[in-house]
Amino acid sequence: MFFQHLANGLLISGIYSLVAVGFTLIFGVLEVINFAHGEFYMLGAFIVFFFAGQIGLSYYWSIPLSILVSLIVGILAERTSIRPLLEKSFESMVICTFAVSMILMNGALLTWGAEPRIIQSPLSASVSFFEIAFTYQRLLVLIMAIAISLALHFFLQRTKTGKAIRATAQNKEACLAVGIDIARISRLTFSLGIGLCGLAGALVAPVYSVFPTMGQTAMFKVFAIVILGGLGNMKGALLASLILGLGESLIAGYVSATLKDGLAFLIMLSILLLRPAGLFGRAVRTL
Amino acid sequence: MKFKFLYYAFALVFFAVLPLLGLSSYSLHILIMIGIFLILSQSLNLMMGYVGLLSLGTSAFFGVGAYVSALLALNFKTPFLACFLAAGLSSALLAACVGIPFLRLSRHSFVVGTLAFLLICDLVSRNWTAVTRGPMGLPGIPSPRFNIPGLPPITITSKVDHYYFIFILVCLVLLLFIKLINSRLGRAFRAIRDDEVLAKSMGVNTFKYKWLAFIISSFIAAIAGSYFAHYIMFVDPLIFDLYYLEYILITVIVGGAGTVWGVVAGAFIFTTLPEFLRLAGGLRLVIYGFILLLSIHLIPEGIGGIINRGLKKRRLVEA
Amino acid sequence: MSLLEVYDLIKKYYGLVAVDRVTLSIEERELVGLIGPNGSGKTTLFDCITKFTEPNSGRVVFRGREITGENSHTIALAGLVRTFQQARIFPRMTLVENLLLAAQQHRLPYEWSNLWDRSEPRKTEAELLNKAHRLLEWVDLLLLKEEQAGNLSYGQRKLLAMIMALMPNPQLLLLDEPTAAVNPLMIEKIKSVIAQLNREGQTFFIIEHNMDVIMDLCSRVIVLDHGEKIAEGTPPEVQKNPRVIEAYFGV
Repeated sequence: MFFQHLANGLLISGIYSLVAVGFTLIFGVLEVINFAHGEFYMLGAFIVFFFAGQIGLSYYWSIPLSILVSLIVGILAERTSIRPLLEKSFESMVICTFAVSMILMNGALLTWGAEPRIIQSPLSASVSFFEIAFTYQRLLVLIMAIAISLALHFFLQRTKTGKAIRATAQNKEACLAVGIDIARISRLTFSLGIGLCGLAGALVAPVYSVFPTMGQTAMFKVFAIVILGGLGNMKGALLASLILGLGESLIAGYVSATLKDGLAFLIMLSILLLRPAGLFGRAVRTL
Repeated sequence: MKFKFLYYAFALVFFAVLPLLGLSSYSLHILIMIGIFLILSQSLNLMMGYVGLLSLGTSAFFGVGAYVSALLALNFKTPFLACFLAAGLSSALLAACVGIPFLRLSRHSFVVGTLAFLLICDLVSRNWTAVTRGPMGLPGIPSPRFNIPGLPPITITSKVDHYYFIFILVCLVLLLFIKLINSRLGRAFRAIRDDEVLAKSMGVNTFKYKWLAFIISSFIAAIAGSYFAHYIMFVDPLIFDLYYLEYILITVIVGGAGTVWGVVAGAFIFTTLPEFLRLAGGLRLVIYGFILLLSIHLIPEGIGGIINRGLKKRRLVEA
Repeated sequence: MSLLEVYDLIKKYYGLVAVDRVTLSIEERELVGLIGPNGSGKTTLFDCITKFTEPNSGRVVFRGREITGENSHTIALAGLVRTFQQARIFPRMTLVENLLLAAQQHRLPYEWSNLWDRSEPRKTEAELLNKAHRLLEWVDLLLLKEEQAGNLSYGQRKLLAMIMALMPNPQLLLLDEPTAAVNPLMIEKIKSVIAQLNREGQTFFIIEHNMDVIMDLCSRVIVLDHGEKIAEGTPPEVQKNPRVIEAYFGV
């Protein structure tokens, strides 16, 4: 039983990490708290619902389509809302992302209604290893999450662009001095963050139900994660995702399923009051 | 300067006389709601426009004020004025406590932290069913009653009564707010907003003043919440919904953070706009989202800012 | 007792030593200059003294009391006021409000006990306004007193920043490049303002690049190079000092 919970926990951590890491990347490079982040996750899920559930396209094709649509919407949002304001205050950008979140969430509510939707995945068959039961869908999510985390790690550490991203997050002036195109890196990072979100949403759509406020629910967890891991801290975000995901799964398994959401709440409350900078502190300079 | 007095006097008389012109119950309701959200918006305005901190927890204190007031009235039969003040004071105390760790955070973390605080309040109100009755909420909150010695007890039941109460409250709050802005405290706040490092070099204990602003702001939000609870006679966890936060954000941003009358105008606009639009809830918020976006880009200083620039009169009062 | 004493102040940034064991003192009524090539640590020294940066080690004593552990705002309230290189003012407040703010937090006269003594009254609004008007008039900015400070020209801002620093009657005024990026007429104006105030008893410690200003105003000059104090003396002495010449010209 324990391993089952552990495995479920890993799955949840995987999803959380995809969303949280994207959020952290965007914050680290653009210094924007992307309140609309959860909505791109929600969008990813709904696009899959639209293509696979409503149009009848194959689920497999829906995934890349979903990422594509999320990217398009994201780039549109970035171009119109965020880019023009990069010189203005941080607060203006936050309000912008808030506005985008309002638009996306209520737009989804209007289009699809508040009822949760279910998507049938072709991968709903189960498989078992060592007493752990998994649907293939969940297995896919887990594998994708791990694969992407590794790929991301490789990308950020080994490739030129990845290093440029890390450099921009650390010190923008220095980047300008060595000729890194900050605007391009910002756009890239934003797209990457949004893409990760959309992917997470697309993967998760058949596992849980899809509803317009799922982005808000996810963001609650993401906030707990970044508060725990430290705003802007990638490793912190990964570790915190793990802690939250495993923690929730264990609580759901051994204590009560309804209480599992309380963990995020507890984490948020205690960290904010006791150690507000998070376990690992911020990785962002402020004046 | 004399002209300003005339404008104020005229507005005062106009609004005082308004209900006597035979307005419908519904119109009165709208005006009352304008009053309540005007006060709540000024709470956010104080933090955003005069200290420069994006405190998303403002609507958390709105809800806290509402719940405290409701619980006192329902469980202890406390008279309204006591509930009202207790709501404000307990919220201020809460703000004083959570403000200390929050204000030590960076600007970014402060934003996330205050939002998290709102989400936490929402969760608590939903789950602490023993006290808050969770999603069922607290119905049957008694109408405000005043027992002034010497006079017969006054109960506020009709819309007109509520209107006059909120009218007086709004006038009081605005008066005190303007006095605050122009006082030494207000100058210290604005200095922090303009240049925090410079403020420190002039002897301003920026942490202390940010903390004070946070406390005052929460008091204002809480009394708005308290009155709201006694007006609609019901409180439930939805009072912590992001809807209210979005509502006051757009009011302050479009109205003009850092201006008093701009935010007043914003409250009027965004409370009455839905009536003119008469659209289903979802589309309204989508439109609001676009308005917010456009506003931030095109008129960042808001309506109030534009008016201030247009007037360009000599004044010591920042309004 | 010197007004300001600095002992072995060190400030390092990841291996770069910005302030290298600097020891100095400033006496009352002096007008001391601080010069050195770009990047020699002059502003960092000011930052360390006034706690806008935390020094790694060293002591700072002001009016006989150790202020090494104090906060920047407390140090300002004790009478040690500094200006910034970039002519910082509060852009969204009027000139008058800028000046009022500059003095409103302070309790005068400066006694250590005043910082905590609530019974000592602060200056009234009227007294502050009075002083603000006088200062504005002195630098010919009185007509603009209700203007938003953000609308001023750079030179006007520099003047405003300077009179803001003067509002609370500081015991010691640290000016960071008061004549930088300012036109020659304004430079003369600023020089005369500083000179007159010094004659009246105001103590100054000034960072400057403009040698004319240093030569004409300062009774004593301290020279920094790469964070180290390399020379100290009267302006003519320092001018002829071979180490100073080497620092500036690399000869």
